[in-house]
Amino acid sequence: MARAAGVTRPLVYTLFDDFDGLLDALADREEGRALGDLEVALAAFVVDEDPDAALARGVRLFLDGVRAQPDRWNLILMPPDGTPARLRARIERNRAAILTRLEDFVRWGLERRGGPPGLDAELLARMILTLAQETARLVLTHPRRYSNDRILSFTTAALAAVERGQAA
Amino acid sequence: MTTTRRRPYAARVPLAERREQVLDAALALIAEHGYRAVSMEAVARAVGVTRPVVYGAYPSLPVLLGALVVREEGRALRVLDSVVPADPAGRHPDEVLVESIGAFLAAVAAHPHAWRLILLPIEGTPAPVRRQVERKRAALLGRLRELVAWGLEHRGGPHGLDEELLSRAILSVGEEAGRLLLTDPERYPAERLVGFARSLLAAVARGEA
Repeated sequence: MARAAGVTRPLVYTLFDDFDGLLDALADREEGRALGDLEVALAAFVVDEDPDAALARGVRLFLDGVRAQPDRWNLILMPPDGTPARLRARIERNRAAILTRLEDFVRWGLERRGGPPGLDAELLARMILTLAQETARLVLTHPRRYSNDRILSFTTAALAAVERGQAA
Repeated sequence: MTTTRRRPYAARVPLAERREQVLDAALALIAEHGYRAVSMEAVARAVGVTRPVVYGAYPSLPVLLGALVVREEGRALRVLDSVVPADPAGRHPDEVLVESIGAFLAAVAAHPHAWRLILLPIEGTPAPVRRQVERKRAALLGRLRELVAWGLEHRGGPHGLDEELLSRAILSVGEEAGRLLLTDPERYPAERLVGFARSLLAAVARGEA
């Protein structure tokens, strides 16, 4: 790591006590920044407008964040072998927190767009999160093949095909 | 005279059966504690035999793990063959998809250890295992794409949908359903997951077939 940073080993040790300390500091920083990216994407959901448009905008903002920081999102979405268990646990905790907020948005969206009525909101939120993660992995591994335009036109077309009823 | 006293268990259990026992024990160890928990010693303990008996079934740990992968892969492949119908002719696409999801989840529930290896890969999964799973996933995606093209045509839309992305979406949502069933079957029983798929499909617009 000293080599990669172009400094001496003792200098690295003056900044961090040990390797675990360095990893924790890195995790704190990356976690904070990743959550910042997600806040930007989730902010798209609170705007008082059409839920499908809000979701599409959230997806675009999320993918922009992923494209801007591929290293960070690779660590989160495709943790390499040897990723310490406590880092994995942190990723899991954050995912659960995001899921809770997504579920609130989905309940609001289902009501506002008028259905599909009776759809399991928790499973729908899980489905959206799974698809967002899978899409981000595609973007990370083949950024040109899976352009934002391609993903967003699919998202918009798929949402448009889902029936609406009487909006609340 | 003394030769008859050597390896008493090995003498009573046919080799093919012993190999199955050994692989079952290794699979249970991996599912519960990860790949690092597997050793010839640990497998011997789990089967309740001596180490030489395990070595009699497989000459080394890598050979044992290789045989395990081949066996589990084979099982999963056969199941997937029946899950994705070769010829869905005459049936409604939504019905075909809902039934496929149901068949897949039933397979997961029937062989949770094997599916855990595929859907929830554990730290330390050997590279050949990962590659095999990747190849299988790619092959499945190819078949799914053909079915999706057929389905969109027969149900009459939605038209103009990106078939590759739709196939990928169906595959990853199906995998996630399998994970939910494996990790929390009480909260996510197969009926709940299949019911969700059915209501969602019912709400997707269709036109002229």
